[in-house]
Amino acid sequence: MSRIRLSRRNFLKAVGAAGVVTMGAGAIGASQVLGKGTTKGTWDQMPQLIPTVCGMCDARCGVVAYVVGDRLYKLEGNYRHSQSQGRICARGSAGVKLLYDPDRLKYPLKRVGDQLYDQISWEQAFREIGQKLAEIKEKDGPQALAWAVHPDLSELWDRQFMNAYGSPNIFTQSSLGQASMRLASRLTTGWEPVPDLKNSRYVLLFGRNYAESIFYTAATNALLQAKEKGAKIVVIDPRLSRMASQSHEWIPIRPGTDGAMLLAMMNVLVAEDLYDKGFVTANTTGFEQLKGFLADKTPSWAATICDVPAETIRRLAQEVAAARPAALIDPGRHGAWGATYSNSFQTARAALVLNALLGNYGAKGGLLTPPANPLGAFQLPATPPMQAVRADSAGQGQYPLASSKDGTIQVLPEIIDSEQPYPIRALVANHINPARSLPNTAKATRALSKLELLVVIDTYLTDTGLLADYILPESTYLERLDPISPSTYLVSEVALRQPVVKPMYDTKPGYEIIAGIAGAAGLGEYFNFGVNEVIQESLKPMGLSLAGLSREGLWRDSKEVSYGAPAFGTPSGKIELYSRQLEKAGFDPLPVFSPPEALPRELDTFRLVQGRDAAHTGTATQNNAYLHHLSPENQIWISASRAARLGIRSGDEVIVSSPAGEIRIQARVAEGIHPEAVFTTHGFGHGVRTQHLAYHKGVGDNGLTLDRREPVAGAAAAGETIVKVRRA
Amino acid sequence: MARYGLLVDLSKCTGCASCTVACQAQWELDPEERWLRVEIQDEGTYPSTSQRFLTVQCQHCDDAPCVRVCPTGANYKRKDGLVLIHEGRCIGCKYCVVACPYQARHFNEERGTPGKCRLCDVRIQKGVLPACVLACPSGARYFGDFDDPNSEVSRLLVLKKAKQLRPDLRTGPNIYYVR
Repeated sequence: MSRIRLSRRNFLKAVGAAGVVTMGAGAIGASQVLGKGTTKGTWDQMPQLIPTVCGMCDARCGVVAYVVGDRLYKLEGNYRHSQSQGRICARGSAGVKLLYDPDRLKYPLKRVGDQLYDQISWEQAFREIGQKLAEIKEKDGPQALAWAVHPDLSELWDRQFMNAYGSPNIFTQSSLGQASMRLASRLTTGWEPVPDLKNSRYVLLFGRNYAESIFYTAATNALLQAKEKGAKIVVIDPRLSRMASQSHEWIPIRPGTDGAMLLAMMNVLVAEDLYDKGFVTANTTGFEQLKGFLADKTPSWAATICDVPAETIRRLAQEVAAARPAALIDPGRHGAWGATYSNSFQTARAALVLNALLGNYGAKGGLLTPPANPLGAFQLPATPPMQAVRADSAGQGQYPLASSKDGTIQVLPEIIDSEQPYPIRALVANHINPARSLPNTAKATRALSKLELLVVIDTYLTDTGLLADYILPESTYLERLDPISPSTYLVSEVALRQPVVKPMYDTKPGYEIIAGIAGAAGLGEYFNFGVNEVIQESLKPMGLSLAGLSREGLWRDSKEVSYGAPAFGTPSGKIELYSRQLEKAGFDPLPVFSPPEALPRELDTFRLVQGRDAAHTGTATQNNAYLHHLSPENQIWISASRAARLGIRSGDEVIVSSPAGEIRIQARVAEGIHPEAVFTTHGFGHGVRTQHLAYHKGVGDNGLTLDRREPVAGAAAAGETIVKVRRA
Repeated sequence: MARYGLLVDLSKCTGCASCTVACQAQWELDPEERWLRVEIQDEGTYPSTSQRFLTVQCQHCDDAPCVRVCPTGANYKRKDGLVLIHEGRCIGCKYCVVACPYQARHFNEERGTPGKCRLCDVRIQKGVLPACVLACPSGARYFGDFDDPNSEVSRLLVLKKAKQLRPDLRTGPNIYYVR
């Protein structure tokens, strides 16, 4: 047998610049390839290789679809895409089971009774929804329509609809995930930094989980490559995440106190003169105020708050300083400060400020500017000026700095329920499942049931769908052409999501559904364009054509990652350690620490910490056959020492209760969790019978969480939930 | 002659099961059938505790118990190191399923034959990496020829002091692990 040389490079040739090539070229024939008498299957056939963009989570990594005949055989990472570099996570590979899931929505449905639906035509669905929307606008004004969307690439249609209709009440999932961190970045540096993990020598991950949450496969790879090259990784997390297991050190911090630890580390950097003076002088404003503020934020002050020894805090500060500027505190995603506690905004600020003291912005192995978005803007038909103001006061009133583009979706149930400041009568939920993803499930469900009109656009019948009047089936990401996907990781790059198979069943892409409703609601003039025009316009600056990109799959700017002090997008053009914008808006201009909700010292009382499961994305993947079998249900982690005192053993059913409700869930007694916390993963406990695998498997964590609001970004603070645990 | 195998650097494995699903997708397996599983073990007590991850699949042993016990010769060791199954000769006796000390075989009742890791024979022949190796987000998996002293796996084997799983069983596995 001749030697075969295997490298990723060879694979690249196979996947290749030509885009669509067969794997057979130059290879040994199938009969020789197979061992004697081994099973034959799709893998023996010549696949067509189609580059596209994954849609199993919102990281949008480049993938290659292997199509045999008219059937998708499998998905692999696209070697040429910078976010995946050929790698693919379990969710990505499982995309094939989404496409062929027999439990998918197959045609439009109209609810005619409790759990009773009629199959209707698209024409009827559009006509009836359009009429109802026109009626509501006439009766209650356009602001009575709210729109919830988990923004994907076609967000433009959602926004155009609301602008055309005249309602400002559009909501994304941002306030449930990253809103605090995003606002903190905008005010402190002017953009959301991207960690240069691969070249870092010291990485501190506060709650950031590159193993189990949402991540670019290339970023996880970069972090572990750094580890291999000798970088130190420290994970600060109330729970021993899988990332923590792969780190050099796990610091089990008291939930919600990360801000205090960050301040104490800064105190050490300043007091022991370990910070980057040159960088701070040249690139920041407000250092003197910060210095004064930090004076009493000593490690011993933080130690009692965080339940982390003062010596550990001091040592970590010294170690990270010794590695600077190739050292970083990961900007994170959701975890410690994305949108979790009522102090998340200032904690996120503290993390950005600590990075500034390390002088790592623009440094190799530090924090870099996000890549430029090279896409051209499509000129949308102009809509009338917006008259109404947002119902959740995001961007005005009490929340002047909260994003009016994203809103604060966790308060939507309260608004619907109380009809304050004005009534919301209708909701369109596009690719989002508020009945499961919003805090306080009972309250959210009650409010959603109260609506005059609820329209759900999704690939599965969801718990929100169960409450809806109309359920409109969306084509999956493997069946549709989407607007161009720009990279948000290190290099400037765009990729095309294109259909790899023909749409199955009577489904449509979300943007066609929105345009259909718009037409029926008398807003057709604002939708006189299609996805192809939007794509062509966005490709213009790069001189690319849709046909060309369809072959290549992606385009990358020739400019590689560059280092050196970047330009900051703040009013001062520097990193604002002391923020005049915050001061002007009436908030604390320094990254102050305020403690989370006090935990009563009772035997059965804990803080609830929510997290992610490596096999799942939010509430969207529990019915995927591959992923379901990897992780069918969730459990609640409880510390071994506390569990023993409560008489709870692993596998026991326990009752967990909070002011929001009560759940019954299986306990997992674990060493790897802070004694004051209980932990569970999000996404389980679907109540939809037609999701045959996911139905009633595990329990929804939001049955317990409270719809609190963080004061600056207005983000959800579900981490402020205190629960009681007892044996069932 | 070649001796193909894998080197798995467990110091980079996060237990994410990307390898498991990539393998299932490659071989169009039922969700219940896994040719590659991730085992997770808890260690230590709070706060000095950790989880260890181990990916287990057919070890493509040099002296494979499954080949030895097979009454029909359906299980065989190929010259390039792969242990494969000649399905036409398999009578479904399950001796091999029981004999495998790594519990790497899954008996598929519908097919009436056992299934297990094939080291992606059809892929490696085409110069493409095995599905699990390519997929691994952390880059913990390496494929290569242990008979070639200059191959990446041979080099890493020495450099990282990789070990076989249960070498005391003297099965001569060709999957090496770095702790």
